[in-house]
Amino acid sequence: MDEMAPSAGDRRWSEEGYSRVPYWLYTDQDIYDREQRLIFQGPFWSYVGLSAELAEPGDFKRTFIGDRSVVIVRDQDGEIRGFENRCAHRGVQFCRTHRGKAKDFMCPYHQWTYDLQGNLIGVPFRRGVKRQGGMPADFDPKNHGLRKLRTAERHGVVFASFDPAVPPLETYLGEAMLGYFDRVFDGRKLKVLGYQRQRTPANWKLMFENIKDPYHASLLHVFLVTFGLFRADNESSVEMDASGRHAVLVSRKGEQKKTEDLSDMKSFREALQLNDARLLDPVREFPGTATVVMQTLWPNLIVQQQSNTLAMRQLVTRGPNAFDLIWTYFAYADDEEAMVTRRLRQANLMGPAGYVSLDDSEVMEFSQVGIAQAPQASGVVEMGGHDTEDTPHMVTESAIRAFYKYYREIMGV
Amino acid sequence: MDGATQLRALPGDLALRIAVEDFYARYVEIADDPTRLEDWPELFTEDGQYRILPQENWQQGWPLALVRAESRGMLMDRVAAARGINTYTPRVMRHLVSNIRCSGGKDGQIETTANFAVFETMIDEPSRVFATGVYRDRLIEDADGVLRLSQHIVVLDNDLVPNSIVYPL
Repeated sequence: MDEMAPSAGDRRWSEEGYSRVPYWLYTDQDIYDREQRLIFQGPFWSYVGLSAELAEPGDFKRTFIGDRSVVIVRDQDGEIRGFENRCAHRGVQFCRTHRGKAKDFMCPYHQWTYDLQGNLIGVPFRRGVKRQGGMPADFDPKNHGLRKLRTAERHGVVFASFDPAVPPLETYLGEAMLGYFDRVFDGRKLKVLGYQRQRTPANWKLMFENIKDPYHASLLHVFLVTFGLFRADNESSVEMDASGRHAVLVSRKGEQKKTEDLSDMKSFREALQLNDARLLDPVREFPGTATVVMQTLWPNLIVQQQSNTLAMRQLVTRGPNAFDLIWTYFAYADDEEAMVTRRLRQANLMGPAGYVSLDDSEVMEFSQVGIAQAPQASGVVEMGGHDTEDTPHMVTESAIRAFYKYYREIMGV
Repeated sequence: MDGATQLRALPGDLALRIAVEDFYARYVEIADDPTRLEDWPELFTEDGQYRILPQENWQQGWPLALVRAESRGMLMDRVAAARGINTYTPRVMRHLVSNIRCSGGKDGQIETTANFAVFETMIDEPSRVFATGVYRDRLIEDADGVLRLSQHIVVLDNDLVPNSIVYPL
């Protein structure tokens, strides 16, 4: 039976609809629990890794969907499989390392053993010892495998879903989002450069919204504004899929120069120069004129292409008041060394110490503490109007509205 | 046993040890003092290398760092970020550095390792452990006779960073 709808009682969404976001959405445990069930375990594709992380049969990776630990592994036939990291016997989280190589998975507690597809293949003392004990005659290992995931792979990127009813990945992303996805993942082999992981004391939706919010980028981020990497007066656009759950912010790099629009951009520092310009030495590498494409793919992925820094940002929920962001930085396997070095230098813009991202991590913490003191209040999301259309500029919050329009449908709030 | 302490074999390079320990005392004084941020790049050589690495990147040999600087200029840019480019909650950092080991290498370079713990204190919260790990450094006597870092590799014990890294580690 469904629990009481969380919109009951004093948890009511404002009459203004999705141009308001009620603050209890970021703090309530029952909303969080409902998100786990309806979103992270729902019929959606969550990002879980890159094929490059599972190069050979037996290679596995431990990761998360929502707050649930899962394992993805390349099986003996070369297929990528996934299952929940929880023994079918007594619930033990049997895999306790980020990655490794395995022939099978054995739970340490009673040594139940699973093959790389997640099937139960071994139960010690199943037939008893000296004709005593053992599992009942009707115990069928086929009914006691790990909880399996659906998996899908496109151009080196692996997604998984708890829900067997999930639509095909390409349908799920939609034509427009698939186009942007394939722009970075064009079929070339990828190479992992490393990870960054951070825990931010804020609700996961604040992170997702942040990358659907081009309004803040021209104001909060001195680095972006000053060096023209992402600025309200650059040619840019906000685009979404038909449902509004996925989005991209697209922009073209401008110059470090003053324009009449800058009077509102107090973050611009005309005199700011890098002491070592090698940090910011971008080269064009993708077709088209866009120099930055930030894509949010419901429910847990941000694909980052800012200049030459490429990363998957995977959201892991940690209760209503915290999330982890796992950054997987990558290059193309055929990159020249100079390009790899360029990517590694530009990584200084991103992550927990990033010249740009650090502002976001900090401001999300400010948001969470402010929001938590007034769950009955609502955020105002009216920049660019009240609708959820694509826009040929970035002075808008339309992608946030679109996100909440879709979120309300799924969550029933 | 290799490396075991023997009374009769007291290190002949006592002066070196004292100099290295003094260097880290000075490093920590400057790194923990927000009013002296501009002095921090001076602790490095002109082409000094600075990296903060999560444990997993270090273990796997992955080149990606949390912070990567390849010159004193890049360190000065980091200082500029903490001085007004970035927005963050004011904080007090406190380093403890111990178990310093050093050995004179080739070309007058001194290889050092040391354990570190860094505590972080912010408004409305008790102090917490921000990071622990190992420095894997290289010191060199610079042209002006001053000991400087030509390499400061900060290897964190953890992979997960508590939100953000603002100040030097």
